[in-house]
Amino acid sequence: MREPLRHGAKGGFPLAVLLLCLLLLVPVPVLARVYLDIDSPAFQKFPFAVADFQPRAGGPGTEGLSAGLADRLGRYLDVTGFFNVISRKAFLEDPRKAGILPGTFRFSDWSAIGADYLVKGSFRIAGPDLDIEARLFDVVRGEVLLARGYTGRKDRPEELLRRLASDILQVLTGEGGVFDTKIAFQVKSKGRADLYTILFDGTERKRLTSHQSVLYAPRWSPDGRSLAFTSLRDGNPDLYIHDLATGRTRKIMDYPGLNLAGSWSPDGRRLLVTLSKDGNEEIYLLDMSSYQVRRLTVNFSIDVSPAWSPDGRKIAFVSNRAGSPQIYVMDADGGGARRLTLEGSYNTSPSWSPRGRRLAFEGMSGGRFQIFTIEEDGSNLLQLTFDRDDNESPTWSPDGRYIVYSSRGGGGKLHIMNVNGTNVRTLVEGGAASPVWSPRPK
Amino acid sequence: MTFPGLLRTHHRGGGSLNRMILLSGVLHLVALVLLMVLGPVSAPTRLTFGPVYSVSLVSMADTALNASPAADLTRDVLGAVRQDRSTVLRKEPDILPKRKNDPTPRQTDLDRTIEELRRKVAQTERAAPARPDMTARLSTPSGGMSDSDLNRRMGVYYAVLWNRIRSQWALPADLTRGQALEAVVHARILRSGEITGLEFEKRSGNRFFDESVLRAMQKAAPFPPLPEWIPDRMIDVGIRFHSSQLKR
Repeated sequence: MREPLRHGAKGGFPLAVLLLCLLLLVPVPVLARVYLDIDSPAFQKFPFAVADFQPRAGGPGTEGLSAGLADRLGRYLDVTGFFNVISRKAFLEDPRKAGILPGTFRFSDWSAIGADYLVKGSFRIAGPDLDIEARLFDVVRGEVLLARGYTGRKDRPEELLRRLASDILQVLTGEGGVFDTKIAFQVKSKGRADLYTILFDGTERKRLTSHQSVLYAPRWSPDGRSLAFTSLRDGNPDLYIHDLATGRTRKIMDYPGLNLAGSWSPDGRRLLVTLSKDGNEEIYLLDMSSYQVRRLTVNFSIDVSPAWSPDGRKIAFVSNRAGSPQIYVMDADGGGARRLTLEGSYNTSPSWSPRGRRLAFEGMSGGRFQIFTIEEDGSNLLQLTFDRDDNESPTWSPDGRYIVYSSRGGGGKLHIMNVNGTNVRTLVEGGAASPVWSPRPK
Repeated sequence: MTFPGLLRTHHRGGGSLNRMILLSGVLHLVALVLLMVLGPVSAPTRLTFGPVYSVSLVSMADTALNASPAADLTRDVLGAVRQDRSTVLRKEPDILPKRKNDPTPRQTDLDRTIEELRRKVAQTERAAPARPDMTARLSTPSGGMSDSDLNRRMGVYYAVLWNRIRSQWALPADLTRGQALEAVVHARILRSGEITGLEFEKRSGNRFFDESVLRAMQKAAPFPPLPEWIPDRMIDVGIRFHSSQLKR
């Protein structure tokens, strides 16, 4: 059966080989595919333009709002660290001639100034209400990515713009912003302090307490409705809870010695605390309904600053059991402790990323405290701050994209940075310390 | 069941297959002879497969801004549309500063030496991470230009591409979550400099990363028109984007 095939091949094969060889000898200039390697983006921010909002109906109170709304939205986008907001001085488009709908303006006017994305919006004031309509454009492709209307009070346009900014962030990065989250902190003046909150963008600063005392370690409950903190108001470092809705503060624990809030459990039913009632500082678990405490660490050395992992299975804490203060991780029941930080002579204030795998802490480096992050398994240690001030008390934003920390420079400041250490901005100045980031409001 | 059927077909057609191959051979031979006789006489073609070169370039940010010898070539590449196209090749010695400074008849030897040195440097510096790394594999083209000349000029064109694309690539570090990612796209660049057939050869798996890579390509295009000395109607380029330097 195979004979005919072999027969066929006998005559044709040498000839085919000959032809192939001849064909190969004809030079055909061909440039084979060349590969170029690009190792990193030129920019770590998206170039973004916000056109002035256009009034849909004139009237009193609309003057200055066009640029005002655009500027404010630009500021919100800027503080996220994801966008490079292009100054309106660079704009080519004539706002009197261009519209806000697709087809009524030229994308080339915006791509020419380097914008990747563009927001165009309009507004209308109707009685006490402000109505904003906005569209997010992909300038490169000429597409609409988002078209949405927002209505609210005209005296609070920032609420609408924060929602718009959060929606833009959701579309472009897959996760909304933390514009509606707060940072609680204390402001010290001549040894007396009180608790304050401020929004992520640095606005709406409010005072919560009137203790005028030495305060420690404010800690948000997971629902964002209360803050636990320690105050020396009555002479002893006792534990208090402040209810943000009612504005009331009540004392919940006053064992002799230290009563220090550590971290709420993810379900909000328990609170890790540090007490020294049994001799030295140890970590206890406080049940928030029965107010019973259960001891978790039993040790002759000091164990403080417990921080729950987001899944509630592990607890990071600080102990000097190996001589110097170092960060350890143990199981939620107090067993299986292992040392996390192996470098440096002083590591403290652990805070678990809401994303779950990484912890931030402050560590001594070159005689100063600096902010570090480290993987839960102790790998990939990264120093994020390098300045000449002591940088302390890092905590994460609820989306895990930012870290707020305090700096002793200039009498006490709070800074926010992106988790890779870039885009540092000052949130509060003047005696501020112990920042702690709220969860998202529920 | 189908296998014996196939064999039977071959069985019946065995004799004619032989004839067909013979006929095809004759036709090919005729075509070949015609091609050789009527082919371009002016451009002497060299029947070699050409060496494989590795071209390594420093950042175009330097070459484009400084008045280095490559800068003139860059201008040549960027300003490829010329009034008098026929004289471009003859003008070349004036364009290249090296030749202007040292117009010796042993220019090709010198070029070859430089190319060899460059190859050595390229080999030793392949590991240097800060540099854009390009590997070009060219077969010897026609047109009377030496391999090294063409390679050098292609290198400049590729450096322009590299610089254009990189300068358009924007991606916040947070979106890669500290992962080491790689995406490879390829595209064909037409004579006009426009790109066609932009496609992923390999996706990174991170949609933000992949999206940013496509945007960089779209924003960078159109590229400068292909210079005349490029022998092809279009060139095929692949671009590997890495996130290795993005910290978490």
